[in-house]
Amino acid sequence: MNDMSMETLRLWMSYLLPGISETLRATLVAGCLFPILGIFVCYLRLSGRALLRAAGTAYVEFLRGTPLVGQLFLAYYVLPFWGIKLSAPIVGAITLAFNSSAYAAEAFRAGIESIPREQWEAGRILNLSRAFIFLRIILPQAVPIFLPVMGNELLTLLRATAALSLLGVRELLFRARDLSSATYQPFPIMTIVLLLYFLMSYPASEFVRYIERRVKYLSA
Amino acid sequence: MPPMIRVVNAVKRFGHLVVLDHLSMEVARSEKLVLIGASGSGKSTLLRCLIGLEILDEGSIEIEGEILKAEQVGSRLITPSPAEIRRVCSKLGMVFQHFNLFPHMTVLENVMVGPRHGKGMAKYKAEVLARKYIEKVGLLDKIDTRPPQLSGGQRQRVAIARALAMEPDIMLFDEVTSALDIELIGEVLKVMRELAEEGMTMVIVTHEMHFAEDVADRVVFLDKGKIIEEAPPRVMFRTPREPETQRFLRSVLER
Amino acid sequence: MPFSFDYVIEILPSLLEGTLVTIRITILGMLFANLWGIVVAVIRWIGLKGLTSFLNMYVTLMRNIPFVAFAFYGYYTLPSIGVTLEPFGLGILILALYYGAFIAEIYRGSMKSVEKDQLEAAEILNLSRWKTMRVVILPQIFIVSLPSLINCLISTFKDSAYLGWITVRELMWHAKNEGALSFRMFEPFFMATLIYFVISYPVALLGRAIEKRYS
Repeated sequence: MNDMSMETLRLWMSYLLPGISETLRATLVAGCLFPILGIFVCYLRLSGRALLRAAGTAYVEFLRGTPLVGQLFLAYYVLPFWGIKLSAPIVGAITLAFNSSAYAAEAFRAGIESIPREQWEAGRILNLSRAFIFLRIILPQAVPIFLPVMGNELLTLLRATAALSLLGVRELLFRARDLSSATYQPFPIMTIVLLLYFLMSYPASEFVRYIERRVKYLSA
Repeated sequence: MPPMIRVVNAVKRFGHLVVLDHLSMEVARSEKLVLIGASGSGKSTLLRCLIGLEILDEGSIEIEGEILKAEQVGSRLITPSPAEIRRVCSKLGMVFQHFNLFPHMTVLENVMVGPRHGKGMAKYKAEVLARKYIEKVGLLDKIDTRPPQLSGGQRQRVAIARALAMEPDIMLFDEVTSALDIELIGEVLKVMRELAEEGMTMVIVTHEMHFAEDVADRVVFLDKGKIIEEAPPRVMFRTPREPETQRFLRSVLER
Repeated sequence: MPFSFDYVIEILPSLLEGTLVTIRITILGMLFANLWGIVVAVIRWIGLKGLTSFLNMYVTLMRNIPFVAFAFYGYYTLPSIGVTLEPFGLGILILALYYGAFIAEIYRGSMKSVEKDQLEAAEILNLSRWKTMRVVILPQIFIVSLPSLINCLISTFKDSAYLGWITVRELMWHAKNEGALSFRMFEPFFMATLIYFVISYPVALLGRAIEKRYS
């Protein structure tokens, strides 16, 4: 390994770093989408109508009970048949969003259901509308509960972008494999890549834990 | 003059359990009615039905002449709509054993939210109203604090202020001192006594027998969803007629 | 939807062959992950100086990298340091090393919570016989961990799909293979994904039932 110069390292990084921006781009797109999908599905799950509840449950169970890789390939190969022509990175980001939204929906549901029903009752007695109670009384109390979970899910999503490499998306892992086979030096390259993923993930996860602690203090 | 509350033949079931068993009673204007009984006797359920949190399976509830009942049309049971329930039950206020305050709102916001968003009052008017009732329960100095920072007695007084801010004709109290430390009970009972003296119609579920004796016009003993005995407090506590009443009073007074 | 039932019947035997491999590799992977995880958890619990900090770093690392990246890492680098395993064994090793860290964390959490409860109970009962404590604490740790372990099993099962890209002939590999041979990609992946669901869903339900029973 000592015949590896700074020059080589810089060369490698110049190839790998665009992969990071691709990774972050997918994370950003999916990261914005999945909470919105998650709220919608949570609404289905908590609906009074059995059909909507069943649809929401099927959605959550299927997405959580199957591998992300399977969902990615399904989406990639079914969309053209429906006339939808999308590139791999976009299909990947959208599938990631759907996958994470299932976990988000569960997090929202757990947060909302953890608020005692007496809060709803107190609101009804004061003649407050269902919408008002949900938005101004239940939700503000549920946010500190599900915020850390959502933060963790975002990080899981960031790590899951590695699966997009199997679809041919030129993100970090794809470029790592590419570079490894081109240079016949998988050991240093893959080590660097693992380190890069670690550096993207670990500080952020500590931040989420910090938020979790701060928020616990608030609701005491 | 119709009574403030009239319950006729109320039946409420939870699964196979009959919680209210063909119960009938009336409460007159300005009357203070105290409900006593063992847990599971139906006291809380009765209050919840009065304020519309539960709907009777059979029988009717009449609040100041307005009747709420489930109608049997053919094979279907048609229950009153939420809007209908709100309309009739808006004349009642309720205070719970576990306060049920909104922890993320200040005392002022808690008391204001009903008049402002439940009744559509203008913000400044609602604030004036809220301050009036917060002062009445003696908590003006805590007006900008949040419930987690208040003692149990203070929280319960806020809960009373919140209920009063809706300016109800009838106030319901469901074991409001049972969750409080002993030294905090007095401040809550003081507020309730004042309310009673001002002529509020009150239905109170409590274990505080001395308070009941002071404040009640009539005491009703419930067991398994039925009224076993009712009498003025002095009669009820000193010379209870029914054996169930005697048994219950003995077990309570042994505490 | 580009679906041909005849084609599905055609590829089914191949997919089922892969499914068996997936199940075996998941179970063996989980088994070794558990064994390794217990060792890691105990060492961290006891607190052997240098080893503990190394293991802490190991656990933190595993929890912050994607499984698929670690799988490729193992596939590319292990041969170059002389570890030559056939794909199935390599897959088990990768699963065990990766998920062993998560299992070590699960046990760490359980040990902490069980000890707290037991210390309180012991104080009340005035138990000072460590042997009795050992018999009471240890089995409890397993029961407390069970729901998390079942979740871990399901994750392992799903992640085993990535092993198809490091030449392990499990379910996804067969799906990929059939698709490449026939140029019909949708049916193999659809059926494969369906098979994953059909197996994981009952396990998930079982896990939730157990969680309810013991809460």
